Amino acid sequence: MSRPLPNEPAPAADRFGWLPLAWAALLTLVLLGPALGRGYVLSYDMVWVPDLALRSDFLGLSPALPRAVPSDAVVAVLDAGGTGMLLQKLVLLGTPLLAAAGAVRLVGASTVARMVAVTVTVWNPFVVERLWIGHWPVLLGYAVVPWLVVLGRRVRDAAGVPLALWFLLPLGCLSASAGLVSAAALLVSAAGAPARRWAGLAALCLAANAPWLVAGATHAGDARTGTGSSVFGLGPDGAVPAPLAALGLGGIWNAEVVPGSRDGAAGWLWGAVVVLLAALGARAWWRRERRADAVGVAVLWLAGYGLAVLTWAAPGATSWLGENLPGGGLLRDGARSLALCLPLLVSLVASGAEVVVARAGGRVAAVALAVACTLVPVALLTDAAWGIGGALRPAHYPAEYAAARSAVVAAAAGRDGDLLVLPFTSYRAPDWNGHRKVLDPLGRYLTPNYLASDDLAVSGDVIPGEDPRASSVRAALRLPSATDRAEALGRLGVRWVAREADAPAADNPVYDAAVAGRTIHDGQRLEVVEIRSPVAVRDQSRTELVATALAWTAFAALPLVGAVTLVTRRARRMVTGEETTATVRR
Amino acid sequence: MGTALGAIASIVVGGAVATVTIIGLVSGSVNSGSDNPGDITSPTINYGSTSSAAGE
Repeated sequence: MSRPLPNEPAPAADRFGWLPLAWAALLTLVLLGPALGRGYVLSYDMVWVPDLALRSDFLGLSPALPRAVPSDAVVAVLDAGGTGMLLQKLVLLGTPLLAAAGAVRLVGASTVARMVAVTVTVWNPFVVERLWIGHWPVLLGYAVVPWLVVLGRRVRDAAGVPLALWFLLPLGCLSASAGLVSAAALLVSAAGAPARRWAGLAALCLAANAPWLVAGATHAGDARTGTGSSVFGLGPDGAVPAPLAALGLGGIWNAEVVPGSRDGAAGWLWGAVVVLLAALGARAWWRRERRADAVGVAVLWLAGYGLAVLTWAAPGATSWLGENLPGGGLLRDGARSLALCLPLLVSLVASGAEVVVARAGGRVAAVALAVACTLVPVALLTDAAWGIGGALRPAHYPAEYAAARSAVVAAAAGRDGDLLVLPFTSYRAPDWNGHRKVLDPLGRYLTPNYLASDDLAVSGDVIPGEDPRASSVRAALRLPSATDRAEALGRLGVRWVAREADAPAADNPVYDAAVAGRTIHDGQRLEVVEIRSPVAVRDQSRTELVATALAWTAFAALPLVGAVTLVTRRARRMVTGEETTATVRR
Repeated sequence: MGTALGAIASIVVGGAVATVTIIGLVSGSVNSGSDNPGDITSPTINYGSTSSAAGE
């Protein structure tokens, strides 16, 4: 049984205390539906493979911007033995549950407040849209925000680091934007703590974010985003204009991942209901909440909403950041900061539901209004159900992928060099995935460090990627002969070339071309060639290696310290328990 | 009288929201059509589209 955290309302005293978490489990199952079935959910940026091999680029040693640092490396460690599918299901299932369990700790003790908190946390545009676009590290960051607010308050009020923080902080820092959100949630909530204690927390945040910070610092000088990245700013959510959509946690830039219901009246009503309940609950919440706690979540809301709206109001600034500030491109997706709005939103809406239910005349009416408040966010966004209407159906990799991987593993034994993925385009829509879009999974499926296009086509316009090697690859592909191309690619550090015959740009001379070498796999869908020309293997400087090693040591130390603390406490409790039992027997 | 009307209104609202939710969820599970298949006739597949472009 977990002990309640300080600042957390007492557990619901009535006999329905179990209901909110049961409701969270039910909502999560309905939200995910077929996504929990056998296979891999491959949707936009969500790429999972059976056994992601750990490689140096995942640690942040790639010349490109560290967009998947440290998430890829963490997955590579945890999915050892081919458990990638299981791990993905755990992440999909655990994220909404974790968010809901944290949210109930922010609201009043009544069952209705907790039920509404669960609904608003699990069933909102932010969760649905980020799930669809596959930003699972962002969602994990979102899920730990309520926890970090509660834990930050605890650190502010009492010495010591809560055990949960050692595990939850690194979990919330699996990508750059999620890491910044997590650090803000923790540090703002702990504001007012003695300076030394607060500085200790800041050091923990630095350690949790160290892998991508160091990777960004060592490579970001070369990795700048090209023009046009302002398209990733906050946008309208269906029919709802961007600043209004953001009030209800909507406003992702990509209109393709916005559920259809957001285009009609339901989109407006979702936001209206949430804002109305929040307005109704504001007064009671302000009176009940401790001043420092209330100010903390209000500051987080202002920061999250302000940053998101800024990317909509001043798109030029976002573009400028990406083009001129090394690593600035990591922050271009403005709506991600809306995760910071969750604690205040959920507190106010839950408080509003309590106010509404308290005004009901009689018990039956109160139950009816509680049901209405709990269900209305679902009723206005029903197309999120069943894996967003089937958009998150799992798929199975063709058997040929495993054969190609085996061939590459055999060929790569004891040899360095990168793998180039052709056609040199970033997205695929393979038939075996129901033609649903996904970031090309082949590079992750195979084992070497890989070089793939990171250009992104948005509404037909191409946003240039950040990998400085990409232009050299394109130049190499334009060379007249397969031998010339192999030599040029070898000079770039490429030893293997994997070509996907079923990709749309296959054999298109702009993106694809044959490369001379030894064919180590030749199948219906894939061909892998080993370049026989000299390969200039990428060299890492000693400074870079040492900095990366230190960053990862700091990151890994957090859950390790947590595990050691947990084991020590358990052992101490067991010893104390045995002594007590022995005393009683005596 | 006012209390009775309020209670009836509450029950009607609660029942209506519950009904709409169940019907919406069931119809959503039957008519699942949220796929965005990539345009495989184009060499580069769009990562996405912005609202202004989608409305064009």
